[in-house]
Amino acid sequence: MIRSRELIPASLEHALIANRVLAALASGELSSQESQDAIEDGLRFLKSVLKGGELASSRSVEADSYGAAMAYGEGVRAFELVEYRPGQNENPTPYLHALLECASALRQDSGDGEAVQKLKSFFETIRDIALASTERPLETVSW
Amino acid sequence: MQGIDQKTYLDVFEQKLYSLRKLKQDLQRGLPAPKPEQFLRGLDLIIDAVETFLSRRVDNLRARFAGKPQELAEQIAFHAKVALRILGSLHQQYLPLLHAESQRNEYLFKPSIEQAVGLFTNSRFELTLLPDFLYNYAFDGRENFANSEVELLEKNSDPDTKAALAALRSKAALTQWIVFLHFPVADRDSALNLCVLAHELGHFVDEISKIYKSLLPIELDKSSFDEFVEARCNTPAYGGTTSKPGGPRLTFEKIFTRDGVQARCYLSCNEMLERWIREIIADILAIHAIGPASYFAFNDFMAYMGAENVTSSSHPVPAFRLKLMLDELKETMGYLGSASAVDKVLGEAMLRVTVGAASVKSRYKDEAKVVQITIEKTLTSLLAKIRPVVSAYSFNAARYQGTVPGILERLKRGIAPIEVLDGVRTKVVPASVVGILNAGWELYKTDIAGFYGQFRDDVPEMERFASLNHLLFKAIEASEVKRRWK
Repeated sequence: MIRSRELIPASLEHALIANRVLAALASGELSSQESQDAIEDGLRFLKSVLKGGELASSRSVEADSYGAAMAYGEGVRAFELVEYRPGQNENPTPYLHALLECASALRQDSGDGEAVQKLKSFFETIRDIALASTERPLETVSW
Repeated sequence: MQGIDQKTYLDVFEQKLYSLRKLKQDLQRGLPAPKPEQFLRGLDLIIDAVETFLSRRVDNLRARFAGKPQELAEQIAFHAKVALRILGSLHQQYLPLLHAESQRNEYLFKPSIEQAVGLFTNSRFELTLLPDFLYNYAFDGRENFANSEVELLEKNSDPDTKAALAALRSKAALTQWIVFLHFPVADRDSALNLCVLAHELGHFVDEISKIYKSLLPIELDKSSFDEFVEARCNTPAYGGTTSKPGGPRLTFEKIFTRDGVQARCYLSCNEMLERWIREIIADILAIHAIGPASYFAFNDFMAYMGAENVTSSSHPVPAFRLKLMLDELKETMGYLGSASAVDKVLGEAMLRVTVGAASVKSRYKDEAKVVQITIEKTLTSLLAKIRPVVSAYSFNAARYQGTVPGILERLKRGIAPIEVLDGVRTKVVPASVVGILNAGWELYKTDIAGFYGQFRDDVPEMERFASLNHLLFKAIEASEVKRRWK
């Protein structure tokens, strides 16, 4: 049996990345190095989400597929919570691509208020989902 | 937000940091020598790094969000939560290891285990054997322990925090691998049962040699995966109830999107496939490393556990694993081809496990079905990539016949088989540890009544059995000493 002990599981890492993007967006200094680094890592995360989607479709298990699949799961959950309404197109890929474009625009200093808002909603949801998944129960009761 | 202010978060963090440091020091004081120095330094590094991370990040945030109190409060709360989660995980996952170590004895077979690991790696490693009240065997190993966690914090920090964390990391200079092998306390006096540790060492060799990664990419079986996704999409939510009688059935697909369901299915198959293949790798490595002793120990361990012939999220079906071990002994290692006593026992076992493995085939479902079919389709190529790692050390039938009979002959007479005549019977050499273990199992499985017959009638049977284990431990320890000091 393998016992896994992770002090910083992938979901907590995702929460850290998402929070850095949110801090950059809230700071009003998008051109600072710290903000640009955060947007860059946010972009990388979004690419990993899309890669996870491709891997899930092709059913291919690769060296980094678990992390990508987890990121994709969180990305789709965020899509379900932020964007999706029953009866609409339920494919999350266009939404994720649009986020990628927003982040790229901010990286090149050409993003607008809408791009900021779109990214804020997504990364806020990612941060909350990811942080919640690492939570321990406050109390356990058995009898 | 739970309405907790930032001061409370930071105060709580200080208290937790203090109590964890104190607890670690207290546990450290109670450890027997030699202490796991690298592990202790790793724990110190993590605790120091989390403290540095939070304090530096808070300074940075206070400057960055000087005129934005709401954002500042939110950011400080988030960072404190992350820091507290890490300390909480340290408390829950790592300090129990220190506590368990305070119960550690010096084990007679640890030098042999370290020597075996040395065959597969030049990396520096610190290996600790831990008796555990959780009745199972486990491998618990980390490459770049503590360093990788601190690097992750660095990646998510501002330049000042990054530099401070990097300085802590380089000062600690830790060993590459820190490994814990857990075994049930109740097995501490049984050399025979402890043969299961060969499987746990197999996990370590897999990690060192990156065997699992070399097997990738693997494509999940399409038909069973599609079937699994379809079944999940149509699974009724909330126990199958509808919003009102005759109303539409609420299914997972209606709550989540189809992509969402597929993502969850893929993730669970991904995780299960990795876990199962890693178990198979460890099984195959162990069967090559110590031969039939590995099969016998597993067979008895599963019986002791009362294991059902069903899958779990972490392991394939027991009968499938046992059959795989026997197939390997037969097809690749040359066993089950003679009229020897050990081959006779293995042959009888083969008949049973073949039936056991076949009986479960129709009962696989959901991700277990996807993973089992995927593994069966790729098994030949998986095995072909695993075998070369251990082929030079494989305890095949020829090696068994060359070493075990001489050891067994001494054991049968109640003598600790520390030394035996070499292959050409011209000089006395230390007995091989693997030979000793296999002789012990062969005696136990084929002629234990003869061994018991040497004792006085009033000696209880289980004490006679314990004597066999004592002889084995003594032989393992003394033969290792002779090998090292000859």
